[in-house]
Amino acid sequence: MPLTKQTITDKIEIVGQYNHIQVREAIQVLEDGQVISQSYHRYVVAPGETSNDAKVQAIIAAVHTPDVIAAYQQHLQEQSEV
Amino acid sequence: MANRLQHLRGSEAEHSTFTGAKGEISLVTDTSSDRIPTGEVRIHDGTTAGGLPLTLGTTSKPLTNNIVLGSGVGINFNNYGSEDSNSATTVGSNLLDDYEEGTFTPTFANFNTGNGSIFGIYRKIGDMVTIYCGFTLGSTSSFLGTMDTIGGLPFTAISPTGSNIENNIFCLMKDVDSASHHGFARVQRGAATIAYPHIDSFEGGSNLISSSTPFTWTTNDNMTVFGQYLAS
Repeated sequence: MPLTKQTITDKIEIVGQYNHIQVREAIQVLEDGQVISQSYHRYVVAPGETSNDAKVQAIIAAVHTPDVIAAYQQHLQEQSEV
Repeated sequence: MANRLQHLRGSEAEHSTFTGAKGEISLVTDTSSDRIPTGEVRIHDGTTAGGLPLTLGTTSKPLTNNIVLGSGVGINFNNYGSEDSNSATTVGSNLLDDYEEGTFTPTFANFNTGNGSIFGIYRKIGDMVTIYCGFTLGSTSSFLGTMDTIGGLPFTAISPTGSNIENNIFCLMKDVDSASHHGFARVQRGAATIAYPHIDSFEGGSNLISSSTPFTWTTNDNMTVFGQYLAS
């Protein structure tokens, strides 16, 4: 039976004060359409960053406003070199 | 006296020679250490002598399938408190509510992987994230400047109000032609980024990793990064 592989975005969370978008992708191996193996891959989209995923892009547009991006940049600046 | 329902019951030896009807339930009444708590429930199928045991998992009879929990729930351990208010059912400190493992793609600032390789794996237990990542130089890998950040972490770190406490990260840089060098870094609060991987002391941007620090990097030299941080 043919095996196929697909990657789906299976969880998107907005966390923290600066609306970081945590994305979990499920990498699935399927046999006859049934998932027989799965692993996870994660990434985080910080304010000011982009994503290739259309669903994530829509969320970015909604929660990463210019004010949020500016506040996050200020937050990082405050943690600059020790 | 209220009516009472009692199922068919008997010893293990008696069950071994008993084949119940399909759907019939019986109880093994001798309480050996591998039965809980006062015996063992058997469901019968009309063909299997002794029936099919329903057990929660013991040393001699472990479960053979995964335990699957619903979203947002976990395992609540006894906290051994003496007060009712400390009951394990009300204290979150004893709740193991998350586990996940997977991969992530670290991004090393001012570093061109070329035909080298990078890797990143994580384990999350509760809100504690353990990361292990790194790169190995290929013949076309190159540094474009100082490596002041490592991005792409799988979870955003906490950003405790009024606290400057940060999560320490350890680095190991291996020169295949000579010795290893140790370094340190930190996960930025409220971010998914490791800042300032460096060797020795760090002040004013000194000792950051670069094409010549801590050694002149060549093919097959590698850097591994390991540490833990609390997720937001």
